[in-house]
Amino acid sequence: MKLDEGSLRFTVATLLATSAAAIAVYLWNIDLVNGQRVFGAMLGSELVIFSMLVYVYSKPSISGKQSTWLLLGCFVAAVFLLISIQVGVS
Amino acid sequence: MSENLGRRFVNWVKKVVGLQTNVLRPVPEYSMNPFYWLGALAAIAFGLQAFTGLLMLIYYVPTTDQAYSSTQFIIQNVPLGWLIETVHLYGAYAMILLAFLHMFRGYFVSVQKHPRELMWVIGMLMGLLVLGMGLTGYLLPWTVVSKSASDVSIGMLSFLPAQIGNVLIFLIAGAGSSAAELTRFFDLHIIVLPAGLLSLLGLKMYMFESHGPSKPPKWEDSGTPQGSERSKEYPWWPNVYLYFAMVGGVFIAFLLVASVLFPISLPPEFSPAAASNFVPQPDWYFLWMYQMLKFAPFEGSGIYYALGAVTVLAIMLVILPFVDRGRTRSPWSRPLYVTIGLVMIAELIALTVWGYLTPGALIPTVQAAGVTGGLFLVVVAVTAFAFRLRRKGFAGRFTVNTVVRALGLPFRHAGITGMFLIPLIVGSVAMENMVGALSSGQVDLTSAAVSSAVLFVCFYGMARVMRHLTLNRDKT
Repeated sequence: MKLDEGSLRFTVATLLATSAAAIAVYLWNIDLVNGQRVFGAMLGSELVIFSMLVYVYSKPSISGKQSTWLLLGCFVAAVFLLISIQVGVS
Repeated sequence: MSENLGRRFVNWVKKVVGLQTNVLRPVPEYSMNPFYWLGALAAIAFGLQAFTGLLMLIYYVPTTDQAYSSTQFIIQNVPLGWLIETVHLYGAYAMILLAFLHMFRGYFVSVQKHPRELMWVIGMLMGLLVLGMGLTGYLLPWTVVSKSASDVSIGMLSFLPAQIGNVLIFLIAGAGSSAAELTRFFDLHIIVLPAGLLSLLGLKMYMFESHGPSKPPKWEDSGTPQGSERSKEYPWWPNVYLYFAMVGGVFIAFLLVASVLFPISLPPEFSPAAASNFVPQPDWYFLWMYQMLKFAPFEGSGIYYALGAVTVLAIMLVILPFVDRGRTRSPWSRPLYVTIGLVMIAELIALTVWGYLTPGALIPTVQAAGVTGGLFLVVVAVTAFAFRLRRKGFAGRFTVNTVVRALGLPFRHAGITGMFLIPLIVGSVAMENMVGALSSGQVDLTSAAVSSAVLFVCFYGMARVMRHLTLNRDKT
């Protein structure tokens, strides 16, 4: 099944906004005394997701070259999230 | 539906903030590219520095007995204090690095040409202020590392003419007490230098708004492509602000994660006893200069030559728009300036790494001349080779044959290449003799005169042969 451009944008934007909201809720509830490093890394991830949301909003199309940038952004956000988990565990 | 909601929100913001009239000029499509935004990223870093610096001011005490303990308190006891402190440190590093990148990018694509000459001069002054902020901020934690390095920097001012040096030392470090030094560095760091930087930024932005971003060099050299999509323009609101938010968000995210992974750790507190067991070394952005000062010929009174060379380099960079008067802007049509720029970058990086690896070690003359001179020759040869390939239309077709031909024959004929190499080698030996005699302090007048004469003849011979250089001509 291939989504048309409008549906694709809506889906990507919704996924990004949901992730951003979930991380924001986590950041709001985090124990700032014991989870300082987690807070820092997760805030980094939140900022990357925010930047990707802005990217989706500001570009007329998200296919082709734009999709590569979006994938790269998702990868960076995921790496930052993994780092936050790792520093939380250690 | 989401787009309608977004659009309605944007229109609402536009109305309540009063953004219907765009004060700032629209930005062309070609400048929506991170390379055009290096200066803006440095400005974002400056904003971040102001924010984190203000937060640290809540706890930091700028006195010699509390500067270190209050910094340690921020790192160890204040929630997220270590993160704010580390982001402040890495933000400063990023600001300095971005300022360097912004300058070199401008240098290579000739943004300093008419009518942007004054913008370049102001940018260079801003660069100096950024380095000044780094220098003054480095002292504030009052560690043995920062105090020793700052004392070395202040000591270097004493080599200036007394009328200038003494006044500068008094203004920067006071009458000699540590308390006065710390207070003045603190004032410079949080008031004087940021105020100067903001004023110059405002002035530069005003001029930027007047002249607009510089076009890609090939457009200015051969004309803007007609009907090009790239000549489209975007208004500041919302497009450019959103782009700014996007780039800034990613930049701050990377700073945050780097801070989490490599948090700051304070070296021991400064005390005269601790300093006596410590080799002073500046922060990375001054390491290249520190390494130069460790060269044997620049020891003792030779320091004047090193400081003189750095001053001349800085002045040359400031007045570059009035020296590089050629009309073309493309790096490929400015081989001389591109080569000089690449040599500067290579030497800066090499000296920085070398300085980091050899703290406090005196560098013998031969080693210093070998490394810096060798690097110079390598960069010049590689750049000349690249220009030759470009001129002969070899770009993208690197074969053994083309590489050998381009490397072996930078001149019209093999004989001329040989005629250039002979004076180069003989002149290098004469130069080494002179530098060696100067550094050992035993200058024999006869050999100095012979070396000078040989050097002059070699320079003259090389200058004559340079006329046959085919780098800048299409010989085919």
